[in-house]
Amino acid sequence: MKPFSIDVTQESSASGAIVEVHVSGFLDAHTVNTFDGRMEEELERDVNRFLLNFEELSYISSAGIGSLMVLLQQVRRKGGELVILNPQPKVYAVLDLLGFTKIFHFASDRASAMQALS
Amino acid sequence: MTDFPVRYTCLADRAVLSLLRQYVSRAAEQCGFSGEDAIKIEMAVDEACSNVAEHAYLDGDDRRMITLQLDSSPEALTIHVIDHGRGGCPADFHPLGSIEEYCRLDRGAFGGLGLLIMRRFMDEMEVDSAPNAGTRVMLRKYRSEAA
Repeated sequence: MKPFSIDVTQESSASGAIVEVHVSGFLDAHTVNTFDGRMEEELERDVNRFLLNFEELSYISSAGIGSLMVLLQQVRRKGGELVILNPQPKVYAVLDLLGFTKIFHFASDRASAMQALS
Repeated sequence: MTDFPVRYTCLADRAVLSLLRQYVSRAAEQCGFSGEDAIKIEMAVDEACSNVAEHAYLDGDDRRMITLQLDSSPEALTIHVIDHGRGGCPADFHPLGSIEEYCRLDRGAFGGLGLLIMRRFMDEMEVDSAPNAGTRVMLRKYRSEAA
């Protein structure tokens, strides 16, 4: 099991900056404050488009889902969007069982994720 | 192989949540649960344990312990999540009505999902809690052939 980590990079596109957030490990009540703090830093830089790379995220709890909802709320208020890239089957299953696959946008490859955010 | 019933007690801290998930996940697998049901059990218990780690004890309370009690029968796996913290009114444990209610983006905060998950993912959930007497959450999942 991979330990929790966040790696944030920024890409330029024709329509502005896109922040790519690579999250590994698990997003739960123990790690969510670190995630929230890092996302807050990005939002303060006035970025409003986020690509959340969940390829190496092995677990998400209600705390993590709540954090994603807050982020989605904030980016949409700023006219932006959030796309989740390639979640592991277990993470996708949880989001799907709870109905969140109707709320969030998903992409199965980076090119289509970037296109959705452009 | 684990002989049920089994009790596991540890510090009620967010840092142990991943270990508790592994423990419950292995027990569920040993009891024959797999796939979607195993995911639901792991997540429901994680939500109950997270509530204990976050809300059950006041800062500085040296009784900060959590106990998982697991029992397996031919019909079901039953897990009790027990703390000896400040407890609360059972009315506080009424979750949101629906995911749709939770997902309204005009909400000021996004709490309450954990209780909804426990009720939705398990076949039975009961909460026994009283002020200063701790809380016991019972989560039960029936084997699909017995449901």
